[in-house]
Amino acid sequence: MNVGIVLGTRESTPFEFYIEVDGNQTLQVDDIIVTTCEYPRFGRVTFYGIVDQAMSRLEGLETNEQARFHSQGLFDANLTYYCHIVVTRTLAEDGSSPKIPPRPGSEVRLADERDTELALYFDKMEKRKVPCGLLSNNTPAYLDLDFILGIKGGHINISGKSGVATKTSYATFLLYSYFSNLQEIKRTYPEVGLTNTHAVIFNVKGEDLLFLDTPNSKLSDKDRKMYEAMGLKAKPFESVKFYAPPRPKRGQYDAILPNTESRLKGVNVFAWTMREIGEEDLLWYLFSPKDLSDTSQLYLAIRIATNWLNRELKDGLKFQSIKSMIQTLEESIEDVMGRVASGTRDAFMRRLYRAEQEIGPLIVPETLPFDVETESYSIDWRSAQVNVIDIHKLSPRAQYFTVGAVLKSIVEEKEKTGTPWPLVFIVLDELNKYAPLTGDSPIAETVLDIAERGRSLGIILIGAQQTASEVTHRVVSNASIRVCGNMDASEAEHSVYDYLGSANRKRVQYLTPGQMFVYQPGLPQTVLVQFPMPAWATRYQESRESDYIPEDFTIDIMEEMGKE
Amino acid sequence: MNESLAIDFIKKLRAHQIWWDDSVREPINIKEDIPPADVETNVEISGEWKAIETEKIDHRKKIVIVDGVRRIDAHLILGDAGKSALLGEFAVGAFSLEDGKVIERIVECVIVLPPGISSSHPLSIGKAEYIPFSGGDSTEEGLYSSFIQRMRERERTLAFEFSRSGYTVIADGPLQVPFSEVGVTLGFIKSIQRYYLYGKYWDTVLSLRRGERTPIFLIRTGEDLPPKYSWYLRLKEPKYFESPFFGLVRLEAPSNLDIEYVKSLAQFAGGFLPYIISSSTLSSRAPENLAPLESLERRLRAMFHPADHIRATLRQLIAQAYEEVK
Repeated sequence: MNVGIVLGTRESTPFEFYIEVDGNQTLQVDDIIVTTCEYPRFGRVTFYGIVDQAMSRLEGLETNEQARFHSQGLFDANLTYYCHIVVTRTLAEDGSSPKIPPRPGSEVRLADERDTELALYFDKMEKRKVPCGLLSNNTPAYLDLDFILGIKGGHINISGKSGVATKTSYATFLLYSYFSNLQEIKRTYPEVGLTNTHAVIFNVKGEDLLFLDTPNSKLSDKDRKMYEAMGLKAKPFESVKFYAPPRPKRGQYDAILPNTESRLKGVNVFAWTMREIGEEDLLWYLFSPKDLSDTSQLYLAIRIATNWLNRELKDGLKFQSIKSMIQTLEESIEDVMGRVASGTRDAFMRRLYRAEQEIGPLIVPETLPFDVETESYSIDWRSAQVNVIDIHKLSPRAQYFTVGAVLKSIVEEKEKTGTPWPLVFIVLDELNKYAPLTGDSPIAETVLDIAERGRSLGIILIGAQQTASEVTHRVVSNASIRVCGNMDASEAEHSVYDYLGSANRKRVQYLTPGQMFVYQPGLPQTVLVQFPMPAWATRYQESRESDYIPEDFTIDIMEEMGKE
Repeated sequence: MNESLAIDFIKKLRAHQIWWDDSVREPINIKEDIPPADVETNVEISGEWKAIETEKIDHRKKIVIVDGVRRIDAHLILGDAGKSALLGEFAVGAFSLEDGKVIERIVECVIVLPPGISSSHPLSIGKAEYIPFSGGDSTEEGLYSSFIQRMRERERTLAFEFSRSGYTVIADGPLQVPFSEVGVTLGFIKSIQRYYLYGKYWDTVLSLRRGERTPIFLIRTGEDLPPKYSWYLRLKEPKYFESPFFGLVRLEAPSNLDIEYVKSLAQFAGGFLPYIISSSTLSSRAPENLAPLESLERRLRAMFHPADHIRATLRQLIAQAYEEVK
C-alpha cells in the first residue's frame, strides 16, 4: 500500500530521510516502510526504514497570525504531514548494501511481513531466532539467538520503572518464548540439544511468579491472538520448581514450611546449614555491601572466621544456627582473631549479630533432635526447566545472602564441569542493588563475573533494574540485548541509553505496560515491541477457575505437616 | 531538442543582449486606463448624498476571489534596430471563501515580441515554455502593456467561468470589458489613483466609517466603453496620523446588472469585506489587501519558475547561439 513519497525539501541521506504522507493515508511512529529507486551503478535499490517521528504543519505560513487566518478560512496553506525515517537497511539486487540516499519523489509503501523481515534483518537470523514481541504492524519481532546463547554475545538487560515497565513479565515472556522453541533451537544448535536449558528466577516482588505453571484464567482473546501471531501457545510453563525461604518457626519442633501466602503446594523450602556456609565459603554474603564498605579491614576478619569455621566443622563440630556459631566464636575470639585490631573485631562481631537476626531464619540445623539428619534444602536448578526462588519477603541482607550464595554455587558448579552446557538463564531484578555503580562487594563481584565470563560458562544473565545509570557499567555494557520499558525521561538521558536514539529517548516515559524498546546488535535502530499478558497466572485470582485450585490454605498446610 | 529549438529561436531573433531589472515600473497610465469620466450620482438615491451603513454578514457560499500576479523574467535586445522583447510569466487563480483555499491556479510564460516579429513555436528555457505573441508596439511600455493585458484577459476568463457556474466573483482591479463576459463580478480596486467624485460627494467618501459605503454611482468613460456601477467602501478607519485614504477601497459592478441586485451586492460587500482584511504584518498593502487576496497572491507567486535558474539558462543559451554563429 503506497503511503507517500520521499520528500525533496528535506535532505535524504543513506541513513535517514523524510517522507510526505499522502492526504488520504496515515503513518505513525514505529511503522516500517519501504521505497525502491533505480540507480545506474546499483540497479534497483530498496530502502527499508522505521518511522521515528511524524509531523504535521501548515506549510507556506510564516506567522501564527497567518495560521489563525487559515483557521478562519481566509488564508490558504498546504497542510503537510511528513515523517522522519531511520534507514534500517539498504538492499541492492545483488544483495549488497550501497550507502546511497533514496531519491526524492520515490513512492513509499508500508512494509508487509516479508519486508519487515528484511527491514529488521530477521532473514539473516534464519532459524537462529526467537520471537520477542509484536511490532506495530502485528508481525513478530525476533531476537538473534547468537546474541543470547553466548555465541556472538550474551545477556539481556532490562530497564524500567517498577510496576509500569513490566520488566519481570518481559523476562519471563522471553524465557517462555525460548523454552517454547526449544525443540527448534536444539535442531539449530546441536550443542544445546545435548542437554537441557534451565532458568533461575529470583522473585523480588510479591508472589507474582508462584503460578508460572498455572494457566491465567483472565487471559484475554487479544492476548491469545498475540501469542498465536508469534507462533507461541498461550500456555503456562511446563517444568517449574518453586523455592521459598522457611516460615519463621515458633517452636523447635515446628515443621519447616515455605514462607509463602498464596501458594504452598509444590513450593520447596530453600535454606542452608552452617556446614554449607562454611564449606561453600558463604560467610562473605552474611555481610551487606554497606557493611563491607564501612570497614575495609572486615575482609580480613571474614577470611579468618571462614578458616576457623571450616576447621571447627572438620573437627566434627555441628552448628545448628548462626547464633551457636557466633557464641562459639566469641568464646575463643582472642585466639582466632588475635591478628585483627580490636576495633575491627568488634565491628565484625556487631555485624555478625545483625546478620544473625536477618539471615538466621534461612539457616536450618544440621541435625534434628535424636541426631536425625536434616533433609537437603539446597536449590537444585538442574531438576526443573525453570526455578523460581522467592526472596521478596526477605530482608535486604537476607536477599543479598540468597542471591550471592545461589549465584556463587552456580558459577562454581559450571566452572567445575568445564562446559557451558547446559545453559542456565539467571533472571535477577534490582541489579542496582547487587551491582551498583559505585562500591565493591562479593555479590557485585559475582554479578560482574557472570556478566564478563558468564557467556563462556553458559550462564546468561537476564538482569533488570529501574535505572541502568545506577548499575555498574560493565554489567550493562556486557549485555548484548538491551530492553527498555517505561522510565523517566531524565533517566533516559544517561549515556547508558544511547542505543535508544534521540527520538525514542523522549518516548520512554509514554510507554505503557507491555511495551518495550528492544535493541540488539546488527540492527541500527531500536524497535518497539508489544508483548502479551502472561499466559500463566501472576496472582492467586488469576489461577482460579483453572486446574490448580487450592481451596483452603489450612488444608494445604495440614497436608504439608502430615508429610513431615 | 528543446534546447536546439531555443537556440534557433534566439538566433532568429538575433537576441544578443539581455538585462533584468526588477525595478521596471508599470507605466502609470495603464493602471487605470480610462480618459475623463462622466459620473452619475443619482442612480441609487436621488436625495441627500450620505454614507450608507451595512450589516455584518458572514456569507461565503459560492464566493471566489480572482486575482493574478506577474513577473518580468528578462528583456531581450533584438538585433541592432533597438527593438526589444520581453519575457515574463503570470499566474492567475481563485480563492474560494467557501473552501478556505485556493481552488484554481494557472501559470503562463510569455515572450512579448515587437510587431513584425513572430514565431510559431515557444521558447523553452528549462521547464518554462514561453509562448510568443506580438505586442501592441515596440516600446518597452507597449510590450509591458500587452503583457499586462494578456494577464487581465486570463483573469477575466477565469472570473467569467466561475460566474457562469453560479459564483459571485470578487476580482482584483477594475472590471474588464466586455461586461457581457463578466457575469456577476465585483471589481475590487485597492489604490485610489483617481477621484471619480468631487466636492461634497468626496467629503462623504472621506467621512466613511468602517463598514459604511457611499451610494452607488455610475461611471461613463467613453462612447465605446460600457458604463459601470461603482461605490466606495471603508474597510478600516484611519488613525489620526494615517492618510484619509487608509482602508478605503472602490468597488465596481457591471452596468448590465439590475440596480437592486447591485445594491444587494454592495450591502454584502460592506458587511463582509471589512472583516476579512489583512493586517500590516500579513501584507504590505494592508488593510486594503484582503487576507484571502494576499494568500492567493502568495500561492500564485510560488508557481513562478525559479528566476535565477531561468536567467542562468537563458544566458547560457544565448552564449551557445553565438558560439555556433562564431
